[in-house]
Amino acid sequence: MLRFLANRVLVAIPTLVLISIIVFSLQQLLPGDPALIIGGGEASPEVIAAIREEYGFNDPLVIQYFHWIGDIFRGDFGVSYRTRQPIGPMILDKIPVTVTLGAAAMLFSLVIGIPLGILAALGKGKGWDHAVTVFAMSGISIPNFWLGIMLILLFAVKLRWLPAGGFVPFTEDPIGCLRSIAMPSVVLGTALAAAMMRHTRSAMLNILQQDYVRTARSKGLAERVVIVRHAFLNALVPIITLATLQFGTLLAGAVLTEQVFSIPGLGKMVVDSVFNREYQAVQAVTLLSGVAFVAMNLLADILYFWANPKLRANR
Amino acid sequence: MTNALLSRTALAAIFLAGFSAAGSAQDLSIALADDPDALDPVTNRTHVGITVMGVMCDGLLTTDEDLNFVPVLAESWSWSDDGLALTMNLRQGVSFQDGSPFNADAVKAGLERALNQPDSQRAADISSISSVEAPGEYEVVVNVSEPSAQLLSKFAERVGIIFSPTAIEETGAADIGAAPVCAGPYAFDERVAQDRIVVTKVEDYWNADAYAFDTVTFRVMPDDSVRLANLQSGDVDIMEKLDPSNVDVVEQDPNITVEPVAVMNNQALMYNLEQDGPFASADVRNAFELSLDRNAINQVAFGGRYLAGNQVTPPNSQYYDPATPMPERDVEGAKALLEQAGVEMPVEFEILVPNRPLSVRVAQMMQAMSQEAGFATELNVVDFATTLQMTEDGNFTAWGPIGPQFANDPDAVAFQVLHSTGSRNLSRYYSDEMDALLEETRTQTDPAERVEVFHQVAALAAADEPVTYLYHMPQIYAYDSAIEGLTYTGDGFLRLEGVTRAE
Amino acid sequence: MSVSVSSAGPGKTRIPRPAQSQFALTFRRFVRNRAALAGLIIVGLFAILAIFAPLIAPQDPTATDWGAIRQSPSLAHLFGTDELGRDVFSRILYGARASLLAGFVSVLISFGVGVPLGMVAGYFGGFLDTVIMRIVDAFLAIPFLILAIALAAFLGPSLSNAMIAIGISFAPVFARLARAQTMVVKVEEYIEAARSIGAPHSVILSRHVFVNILPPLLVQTTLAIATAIIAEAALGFLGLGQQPPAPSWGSMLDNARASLLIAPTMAIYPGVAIFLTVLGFNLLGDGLHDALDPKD
Repeated sequence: MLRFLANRVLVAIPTLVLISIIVFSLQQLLPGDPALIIGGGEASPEVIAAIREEYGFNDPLVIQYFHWIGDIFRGDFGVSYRTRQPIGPMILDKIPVTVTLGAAAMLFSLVIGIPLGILAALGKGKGWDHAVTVFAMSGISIPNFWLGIMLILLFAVKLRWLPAGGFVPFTEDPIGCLRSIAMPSVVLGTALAAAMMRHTRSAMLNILQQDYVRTARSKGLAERVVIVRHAFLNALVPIITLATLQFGTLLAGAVLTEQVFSIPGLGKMVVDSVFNREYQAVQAVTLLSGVAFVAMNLLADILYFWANPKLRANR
Repeated sequence: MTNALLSRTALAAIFLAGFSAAGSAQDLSIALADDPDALDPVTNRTHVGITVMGVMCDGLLTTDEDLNFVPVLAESWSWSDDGLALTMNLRQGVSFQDGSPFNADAVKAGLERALNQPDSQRAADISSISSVEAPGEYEVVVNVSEPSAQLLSKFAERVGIIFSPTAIEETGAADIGAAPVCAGPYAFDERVAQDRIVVTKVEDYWNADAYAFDTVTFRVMPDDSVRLANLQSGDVDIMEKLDPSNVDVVEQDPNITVEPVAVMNNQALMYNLEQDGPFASADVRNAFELSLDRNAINQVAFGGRYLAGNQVTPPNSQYYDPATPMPERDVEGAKALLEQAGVEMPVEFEILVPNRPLSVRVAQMMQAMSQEAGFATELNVVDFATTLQMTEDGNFTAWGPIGPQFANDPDAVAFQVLHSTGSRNLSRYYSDEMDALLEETRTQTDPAERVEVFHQVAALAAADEPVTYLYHMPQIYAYDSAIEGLTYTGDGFLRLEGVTRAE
Repeated sequence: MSVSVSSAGPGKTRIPRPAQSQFALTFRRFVRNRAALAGLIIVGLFAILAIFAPLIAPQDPTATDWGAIRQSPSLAHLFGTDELGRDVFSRILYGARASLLAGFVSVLISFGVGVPLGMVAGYFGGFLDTVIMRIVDAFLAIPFLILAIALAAFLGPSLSNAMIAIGISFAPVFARLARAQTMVVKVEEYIEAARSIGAPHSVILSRHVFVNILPPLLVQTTLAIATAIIAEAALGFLGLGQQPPAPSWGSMLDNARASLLIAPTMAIYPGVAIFLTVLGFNLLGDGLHDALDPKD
């Protein structure tokens, strides 16, 4: 186990380094001279030159890169050019928002996806199965920003049941929080629920054909017991692994969901920062999501390894 | 760092939870259309930033809705006979929100910071100031190098907001915008970027009785429909910048009051006069103007709620030159002008458009209208930050609709755009005649004469047409009808003095 | 696939290939799959609408009518009019062009960049493989949409730049799949045979490996087009796609959002159009997958 883990971590390191290089180059990609933006419309050329010097824009790129990485290891993500707020704490403010939203979406997708997936597997080829398949296909195909607009139209504009946007922290007002993330989490969770249905369905189908399930059935165990204790618990592992791997999809989905619902999370931060030319914020969030993605993959690997006795025996 | 932050957040949460339990009457929440930049009057560049600072801070003076000056921290002022020295007497017994005293030294330091800080956005506005003196504890003398008719209007705006010198000393001038400390009814509490800014009432504020709310929360909601829906659901009390096309519908709602506040601003199309091509000719620019139907733009894009106009100030302003009326749309006239200019038809033209729904709407209308008069108009819609960069670099043919959003004096909308040294003169319009006129508006201290000079500015701008003025935008506020007593400054910002919520 | 057989050309050793009947079998399985057929029909329908948009559209999609803004659906305007009085139905038709074009071109870019990289990595293995795949992994770790937004903002808003941004951002997916498939195929006998007669790597890769990994890549291509269409709509929605006044479904949705209160129906049509097109490609891709690999 330890050797496996160490190996995985070792493989992740070059990936992380490359991510940081790609993320760093994003600054070179975005248009506009940051010194001009920091200086504002009326800064004189001397001021601009001083800003370039102060922020190290004149240094060779390699030096700039190492400065940047060094600062990040010290926990310094830079200061917003626009608001003068430090970016590190800014991100800390936003993580709980996106995590709350993501967790709610994940919960929604599990609650919807797993039971429907099981139902579909049990009734393979029958009406239920077709209905679930169509449902799952639609869930994958619906653009989430449009779904968001439609929900706003119905529940906020027409019925006025739910707020059209904004976010209320759970610690501040639990009910308000649930109201504020009800629509966004459905929007973000729909594609995920659809994927979950499909995965659950195929994992269940796979397991229902296994010998031990047949044995359990032949022993005369109640069908419910067979399904829950034997089939479902075994199907759970690949399902959870896949859920972990959906992290990237979740974050990408959050970009648009947060935009549609004006939710101040990481996704909205990155889009706003692109438009405001807040290079350091774009870099920080992108880097963070890349690192988190790698970490989640590692977690999925470990889960998969831990849950598969055969794999463990082979090592 | 993290722990301190967490505990602060937790404290704030408990604090706020306590409030909501005690009844919501004590918090006033205001939905903003943009995320403000740094909350520092010296470096500020965003309109919403002023909205926030206007609630937190008192200035030296302010303006009423008819643009008369109103004393606040400067109780009285007078000019010397030669017009070269302004003496202000300050309100006594006022302290900054950090407890340090508000006095003449602080004002002197504040004005000098606005003049000298390298990244100051205000320096050009007050460049006529030659020195600031503090002869008494509550007496400030501002010396100017030439008579300055526009100076008081700057003191009634951002320049007049003075920050605590002690706080600047501690935080550093560069970072004071993240933790502002001024003199006024509400002190900065916390800011969550792109989400909210919370300010808390200062209990020992000299006029504390006039402020009914314990906290004011500004919530950032860039999406117009989200902002409005949150007002309708009662999640916010006041919203700014209601989309004018929605006014008709929102007015039907008995729980919401819609209030358009007239502001001396303008939105215009700026031409790049340094670019070779047909638009280097004033005839071609005049022809483009003739191809436009400004009233139709107002009707279609803004539901008729804005004000069509052809000058730097709105038609209902005393500074509007009645001798240069808004031309009717005249497609044939436009074609005739183009023929006279001898340009190749159709005339190729590209408008750089900031990516905002209403701007894009107007741009598409201009495109359609001008095409009928022989222009092959293309749109280049890019995000606002990129348009700033491109216009700075001179990499554009025309840019708009764009313009200053507010002003408490025509100087603020005219000088920087039309004077050859103006910081917003992105048209690269260099006219000695215009420069002389604009300089005269600053030195002419007789109000009636000054109005006359502004009429000449408007007439010359219409003839040379470095800019085609299109329309003027009232600030449209919408608020919960239970909110009573809202007033506005002459440049359209909220004033919370005396505002209450009916039970 | 019959084309690729003849492309082996005369004078060269004929390499044994999956028999023709395999293709027929796949085809039959595909046709029997009603969902896949539905997908094909939807995609075909939208393709026809897009190609013949100028003939079908009742009006010029950019023609404005100040007197008839935000009208409800009527006989004159099947889907009503937008905030500048333009015919929404015509704009949806022309929007199909932008969407389908974006779907195809950006996936073409992804395919063109990703597949050769993946094939080279999988075929040669070793250090080259490690380097390429680490880079691919790093790109995959950055959320696709964030990368596409940053690239689109860098390149400047336009339909072609949106396609490039999406294409580049999606290329790693193809690289990964191509590599995995190449590793499966390269140990097959016919590749070994080709190698043993001294065929150069370039020939083996292009003539033999590529042809044999094509079927799974086609499945991925179809699904990727669905993703690319959503991504293009998302960029358009954020103002990073097609320039106005030319219509695209994403920017129409963005405009409609601004008029949500006064003209709610405007937001429905572009969304439905995106949904149906994407659904069509997803059904098609799924059907192809099942037909090629009927295990499930």
